Amino acid sequence: MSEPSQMQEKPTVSAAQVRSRARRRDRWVSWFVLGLFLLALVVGAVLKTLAESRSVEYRGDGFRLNYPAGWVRRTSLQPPYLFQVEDLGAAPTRTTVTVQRRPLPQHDPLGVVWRDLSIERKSDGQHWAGYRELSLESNAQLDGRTVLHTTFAYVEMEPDPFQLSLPVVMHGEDYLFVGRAGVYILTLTAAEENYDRDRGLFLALARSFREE
Amino acid sequence: MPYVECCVCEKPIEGQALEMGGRPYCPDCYARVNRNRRSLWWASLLGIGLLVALVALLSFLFGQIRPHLEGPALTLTGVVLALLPALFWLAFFYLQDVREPEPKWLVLGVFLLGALLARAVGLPLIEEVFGAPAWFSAGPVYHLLGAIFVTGFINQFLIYAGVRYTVYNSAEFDERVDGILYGTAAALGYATMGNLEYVVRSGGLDLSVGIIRIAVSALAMASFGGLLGYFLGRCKFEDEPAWWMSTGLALAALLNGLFVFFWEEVTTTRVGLVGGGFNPWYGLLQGAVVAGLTFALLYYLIYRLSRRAPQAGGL
Repeated sequence: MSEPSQMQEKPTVSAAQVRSRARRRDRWVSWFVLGLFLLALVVGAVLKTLAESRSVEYRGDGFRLNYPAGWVRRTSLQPPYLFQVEDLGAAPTRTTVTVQRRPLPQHDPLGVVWRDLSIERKSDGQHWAGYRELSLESNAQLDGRTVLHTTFAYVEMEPDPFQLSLPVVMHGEDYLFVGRAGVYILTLTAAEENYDRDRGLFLALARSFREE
Repeated sequence: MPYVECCVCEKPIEGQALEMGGRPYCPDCYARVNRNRRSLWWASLLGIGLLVALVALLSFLFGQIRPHLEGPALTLTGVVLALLPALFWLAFFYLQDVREPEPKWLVLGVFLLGALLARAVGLPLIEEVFGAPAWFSAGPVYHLLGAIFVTGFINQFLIYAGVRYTVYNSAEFDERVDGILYGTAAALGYATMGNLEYVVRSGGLDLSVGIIRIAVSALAMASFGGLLGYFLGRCKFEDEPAWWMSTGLALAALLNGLFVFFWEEVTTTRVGLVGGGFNPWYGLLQGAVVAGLTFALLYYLIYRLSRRAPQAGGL
């Protein structure tokens, strides 16, 4: 046991005390920051869900449908194209949905129109470079309607008019079905990396399609 | 007389202890913590000024000459341009930081960590998990809030983490202004990786436009990182309330989000179906103004704090 005279004076404020208090406070600060960050991510996820579920109704040309809000609709289209919307914000190139209507052939209407469509694309190397069909389902169901569903891929040679860019591999799909005024073709094209995300939006759009 | 130890060097304090943010400091440590780092401000001022001037000149020359570069040559040029802002800042800092210099390997390490965090976490989280900015086009409110809550918070949290869980705990982080220094370094690394990703993914870039985009994103991120670092610096040496750092993060994320939102607003001059008009020069102006104002504000804040300290080294 030390002599009282040799005992060091007890520190009133030691560095260890201050550091311990600072460490405790730093832990709280870290938790606050982490909590705020997680809260921001939750808000971000809610915003994303809300944004992706927002839609705008289009009525005209004998049909109506809902397309994602924020996508831009083209107005000057040549037949057989009736409707076209684009997600201009998609990178590396825009996602596009089109609606075409073609005359109704007498026999096997979906098969005939699909073969014509396929030939057109294969022969148009400028817009459909390297076009390949990936799958074909002739009696698929879409919202109680029998449709012909195809998926395909091709290469977009000029994905961005404002920037020198590499060609982009595109994926797409068509829904063909018979309506009162002819055969409708709903087509999605999107860059490979956006395709999985955008096909959900396309499916919602296709399900909202009603002939009037 | 009470026995008081300095909270930094742990030596007993003779006479009256100097207090800052509820903590006792010896005169030497007090002066060091409050010291201003002239080299940081010179590097930032020269970096911003010369970068803007050089980028404006190069962009103008590229626009006039229209060099015909393709393939690897174009990508390599793009990569060099993407590294330019960081090289500028690091070089100026290296040349200016001669009095009690900060370890250069540590500054470089934080810069590289910022880049790694961007590539490994930030970019995949923003683009793949949150699918941004694709849904920003759902409307201006979604664009603004998405830019703040997704882009802003993810970017700034990772820059914060890159400093807070590494150099913040080291003995080298011994001045309040070090927060700004390391925050800026981490943010520049983060921005550089974003720019490299942009160049490589595009297989090159339109040189006259791309160089402006690169400079603007680096300037903006460096200034937001500096702001975040100011909060970190004060958090380390003062007993600030627990919400202090969260406020700093929220402020940096808000500014980052507003910057992303207004970058597109000011550079898009006309929206059309065939193609929107695009003027990157407005963006360069925006980047220079934001970076200039932010660093001026940080300089003022640090200057004010160092003026309050009687033993501070001063400017």
